[in-house]
Amino acid sequence: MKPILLLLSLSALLPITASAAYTYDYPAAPAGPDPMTSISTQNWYINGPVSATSSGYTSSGDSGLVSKATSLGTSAYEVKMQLTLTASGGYYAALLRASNDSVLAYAGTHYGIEVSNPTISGSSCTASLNFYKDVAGSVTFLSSSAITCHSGMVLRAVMLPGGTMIAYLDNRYAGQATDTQITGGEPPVSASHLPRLETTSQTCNWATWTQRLLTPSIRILSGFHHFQTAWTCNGKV
Amino acid sequence: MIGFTEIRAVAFVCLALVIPALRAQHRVDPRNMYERVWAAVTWTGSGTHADPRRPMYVPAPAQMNPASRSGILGYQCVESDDNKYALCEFVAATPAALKPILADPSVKAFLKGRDKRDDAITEFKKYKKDFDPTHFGVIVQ
Repeated sequence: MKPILLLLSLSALLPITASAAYTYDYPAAPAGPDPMTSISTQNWYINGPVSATSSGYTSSGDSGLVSKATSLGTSAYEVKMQLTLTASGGYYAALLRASNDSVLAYAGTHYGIEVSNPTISGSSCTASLNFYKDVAGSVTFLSSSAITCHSGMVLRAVMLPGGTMIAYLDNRYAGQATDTQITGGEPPVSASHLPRLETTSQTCNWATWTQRLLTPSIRILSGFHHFQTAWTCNGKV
Repeated sequence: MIGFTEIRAVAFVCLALVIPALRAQHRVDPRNMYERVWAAVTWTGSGTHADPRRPMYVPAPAQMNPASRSGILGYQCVESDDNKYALCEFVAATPAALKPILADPSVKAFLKGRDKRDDAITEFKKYKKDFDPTHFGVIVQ
């Protein structure tokens, strides 16, 4: 058989892959990922019983971390976080256009993309992916759907200028919602990660693309140059 | 006389032609899976964490069981211009789960596959002038 035929045949079996590199504005280079093993009040507004552990950021109650980063500022950005799901229950969310006093359930003003109540049974894990808005403590659910989940899953929450929020789970489109009530800017614009746990044995962590690193990271969408960020983690014992 | 080598070559060529075609077969777009209804409904709920404001027919989050395949599996809504209505797409695994919406005489509902999409868009634009259907498409896994 001629080699060209063999190559043609084999090429038909190979998937075409593509990869892209992203630059995140938090944590800033060259510091690298923030493992959230400590939380600096210099960098964060701390709302509620937030705590840092060796495996990342967790909380025993409703809480939140809001970044004090002010080097950039826009109300459109992407937030990416990795969830460590070791037991059923809890609420893990990225908050978008959030006020500095925002916590997941529920205070301040923000949009939220939330992985809610993961239910682990044997090797299966199911949860709800919720999109909501919280305006001064009044919560409206805009979208919800059943999803499958797993420990280490990566949630990317994208806020677009026109008010559309898009969620990707493990880099697959998972849903969106659109609302224009919260425009950001006052109080300071922020994006935040708000996992909430319901047992003290659980932790919630964030990571970059490298899933071995449990850390938060944010990428600013092309064309936008300013932002503030917020990270939060809520839980109930 | 065709030899074994030629047969193998032909077989590989056939594979080269067939496999890309098989790979090119489209899976069903997840935004088209399950039973779907578009409807303009009122909001319910007090706006608290336990009882958030949500579209009518949707249970409170605490009452939803993500592991269950009964009832409404997902929804996506936008607010009407006057904020009084939720313009929603509801998704369920079975038509029965959407029957209460379809049977409600106070709700104008459009069942995907039965009713015209343009009619639904026209109806929604009565509530929201700049309603954009491209923002709809809830995915249920």
